Amino acid sequence: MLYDYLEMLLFIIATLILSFFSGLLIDNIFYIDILKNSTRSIYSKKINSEITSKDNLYSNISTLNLIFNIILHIILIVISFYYIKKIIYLFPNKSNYKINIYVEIAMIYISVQTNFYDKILLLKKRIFNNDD
Amino acid sequence: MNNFKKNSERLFRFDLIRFSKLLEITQYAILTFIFAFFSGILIDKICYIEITPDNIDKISNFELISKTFLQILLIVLGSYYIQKIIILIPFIFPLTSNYIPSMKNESKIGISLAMTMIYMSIQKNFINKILLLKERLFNITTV
Repeated sequence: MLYDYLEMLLFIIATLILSFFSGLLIDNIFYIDILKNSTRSIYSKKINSEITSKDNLYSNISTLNLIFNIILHIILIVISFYYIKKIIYLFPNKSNYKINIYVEIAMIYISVQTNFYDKILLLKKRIFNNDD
Repeated sequence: MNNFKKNSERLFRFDLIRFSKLLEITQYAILTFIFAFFSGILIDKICYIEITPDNIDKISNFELISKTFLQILLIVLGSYYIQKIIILIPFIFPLTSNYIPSMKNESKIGISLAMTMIYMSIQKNFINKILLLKERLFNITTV
């Protein structure tokens, strides 16, 4: 029983490490310098108008380029998800528990990929021209 | 050890079937991006509460909780129906006739991943409402 739990813990820690570093890597590969301020402050501040205000947004990226970049970013995310799962299943899994690793990876990716978040918000701003 | 060998073979396998699988996941992820982007903006607009320092005290807990629940409901319904709509579109790039589309739920993987990423990124007001709710309930200021 204890062995099963240790195995599960190893499984979860491996997923965490792999998704954390691959998430950072993907975010850096498709990085676009959008905001002058720190991205995390979007989550942490109640008032984020200053972050998305025009003064703080770089506008030299074309919308087409932005959409293309986001699509490539998504493609790399889904492919890495697929392969992380394959790598994780290399670990011993005698008890054959069914953990939804996708949820864990998604949570880590959302937290780590701050530039992806910024790009989506910039696209929304470009299309609808609002500062919500 | 046998299991490891089998799984490592699966990991490094790269043939037309594997390539078709990745293409299928990618196709559905891109389609989901389009649907989730616009529906996410719409849902965030429907349940919008303006949270500024001036009106923060005017927002009642009832309004905050009810709009948060409404937004969750719309997110769940949105993701359910978007999946149903997207699955109507067939996989357009099967590279070999041996490939059976969505045999191992490839379409669902692409859809759910892209949906989670886009919905969480686009619904900024939802995140702000959750943060305000947390602040109200536990008196924790998130700075």
